[in-house]
Amino acid sequence: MAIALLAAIVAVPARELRDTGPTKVYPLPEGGRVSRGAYRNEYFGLVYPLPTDWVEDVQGPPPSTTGYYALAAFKPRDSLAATIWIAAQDNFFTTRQVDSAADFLEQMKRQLVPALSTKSPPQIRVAGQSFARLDYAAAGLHHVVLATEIRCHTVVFSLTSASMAQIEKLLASLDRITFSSKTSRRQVCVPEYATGEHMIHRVEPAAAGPRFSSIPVRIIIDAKGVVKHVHPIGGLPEQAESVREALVQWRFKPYLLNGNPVAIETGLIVQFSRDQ
Amino acid sequence: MQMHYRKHVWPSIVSQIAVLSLAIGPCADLALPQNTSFPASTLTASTTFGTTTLAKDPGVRGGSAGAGGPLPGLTSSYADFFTAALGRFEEVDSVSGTMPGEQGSGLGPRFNANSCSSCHAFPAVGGSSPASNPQVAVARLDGAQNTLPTFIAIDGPVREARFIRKPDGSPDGGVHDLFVITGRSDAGACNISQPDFAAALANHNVIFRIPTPIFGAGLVESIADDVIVANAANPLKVLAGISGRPNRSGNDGTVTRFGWKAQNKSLLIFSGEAYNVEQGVTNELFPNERDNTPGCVPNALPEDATNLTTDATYLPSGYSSDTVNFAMFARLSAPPVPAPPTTATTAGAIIFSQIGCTLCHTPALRTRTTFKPTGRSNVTVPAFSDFLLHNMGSNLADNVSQGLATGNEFRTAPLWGLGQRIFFLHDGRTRDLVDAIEEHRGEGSEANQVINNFNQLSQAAAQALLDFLRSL
Repeated sequence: MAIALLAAIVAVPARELRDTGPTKVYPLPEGGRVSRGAYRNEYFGLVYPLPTDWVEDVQGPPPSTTGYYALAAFKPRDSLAATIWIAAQDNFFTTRQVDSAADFLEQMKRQLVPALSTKSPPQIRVAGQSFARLDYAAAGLHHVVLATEIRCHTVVFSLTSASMAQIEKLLASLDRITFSSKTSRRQVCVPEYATGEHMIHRVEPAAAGPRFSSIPVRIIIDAKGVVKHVHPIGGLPEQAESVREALVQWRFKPYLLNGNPVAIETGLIVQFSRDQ
Repeated sequence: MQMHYRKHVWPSIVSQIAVLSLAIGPCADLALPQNTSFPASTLTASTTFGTTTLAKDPGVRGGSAGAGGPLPGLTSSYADFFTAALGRFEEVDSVSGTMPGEQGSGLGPRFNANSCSSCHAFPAVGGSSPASNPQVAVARLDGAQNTLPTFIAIDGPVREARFIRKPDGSPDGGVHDLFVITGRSDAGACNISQPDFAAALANHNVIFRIPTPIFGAGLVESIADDVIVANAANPLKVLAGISGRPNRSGNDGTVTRFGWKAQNKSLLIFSGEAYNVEQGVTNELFPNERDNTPGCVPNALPEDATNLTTDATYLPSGYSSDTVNFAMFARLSAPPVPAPPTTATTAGAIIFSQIGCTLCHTPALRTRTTFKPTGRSNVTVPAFSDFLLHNMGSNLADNVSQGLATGNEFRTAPLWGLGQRIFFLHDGRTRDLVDAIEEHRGEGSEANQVINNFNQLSQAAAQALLDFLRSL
């Protein structure tokens, strides 16, 4: 067990393709994979066919304790003529209010040096999904950032190249993105629903891991108020297990959408701060 | 339906670019102009799309040491304390305190070096590893019979060794001192053996750490926790795959910031731990020997303690223990002074920011609080570090957890003084700055996209960046 725990600490956590809730298999944001020449992410319901002769770059970091996901990185097979970076920010855990993908990019734009050449071209639509866009140039490199909103995440495609011709080719490749019609992409997401006024029953997670560590968690609550899926984002394995074991026992008042109870996805932060 | 997500109070954070201008030397005209122009070649698109840069590390910056002195503006009492504390930092320890030239006592029974300043030596006392490793000589000093581990070389970095796992497979992570006092003329009958480093190496069970410089550490200690936490929240990080989180004290939850994994809370704790771990000198913070083998603990404990003298002529330094002196030396030391800017290094600083390096290597933070030795508040700390933990992937992972830091996480190493550093990264694995940069990239690293940006730069732009780093 000590070795297994050490292995869990040492290794970059394997991205789970599926996480098992009590009765159903749920995809995870970090569960995307490349297969048959395309990046496929079931959680976000998107398929991005890679440009010809493009390959996966080295894997990025595991999900962060601020709900940030490095989903995928791609580059040409034998060069670094350009790069594509796909990431997602869980908007439940940002430190600023985000109204939309366009607002997300606007906040980024305000952080960029005024000296940089920036522009915000009109939003584009790919396969029926609206994308906000931010272009900027820095240190001889061109950057185009496309952002869209899926399941209360801002999903970002970041294209970088010293060559605008390469950028244009990559933009053209994004036209081939497809989005699944499955309900997973359309899951109703509600911020801050896991609060006292909505809660009927609550079990505290057992103390685990270092004190003063915080773990963001997403949960799916069904139309009856039962927690069906718990996804701790980051944290040590024993902390994630403690969170799962406790939160799956929570019960809520059903969320009503237009007067009808529906399943929702919401987020909360679990803090391990008490004495162990 | 538009979703409004959770809103948090947004504390003011220091603009990265604004403080970059503050960090580059004292001259106000170095503030970044709104329309920056620099040599066209710097911005020429790369014509070779290889995966690594062709730029070269200019090498260790020559000239006088840009560090080692006291903070400007110290009152006379603090200035005197700094001078006296420096002397204590340079003191050489022996077991008995009776060896010629080795007036300090308490060395061992296990140790890595016999003086703080032997390891924290370059470019000045308080720095990092010198070019010639003093551990080679101390292994056999005064009759000691130590075998030099294979990872210690005369032209290699000063190193401590940590074992990843214990023999039963459970996590270790602790320092296993290189040397023992056995055979020293002042060691008496102590007869203990060195750890089996050969076996540890063969089993891939050992990692290394090199000394971190302590210049400017008092200002770092004074940075308010909320400044560090607020700086962590920069939306630009999403573009580059960077997150970062503070390490925290297991005692009170406050932000820790010293050490390769930001595992230590204060300079006093850092000093006490190092004194006992690296030199074997027990002290008032760590009063117990790490090895209690009979015959190997000849001194009363703790070996370093407050001097209970009644002599009123003793300065505060004289009353204080070595550990307090070490902490004060660090606390009162001035930050490294960068080289005067040039056109190239100014351009390099801009590029360093524009490709995303400053998302972790924050050019400067402000203390916000008042620093007692100078009475100044809201002091700029141009350390080029956010003091947060970042996942650096399998390439740099040392598989040792400390506090909240996992085996893949490290504190952003402060880059002030980088220009006069010889060895890089936590284990001193390279002397080459380009290698050190490229090592940031690996499976699971937050730095991958930024390093990709670096490798897509033109050679001229990358060279300007390297020149800038060597100017720090």
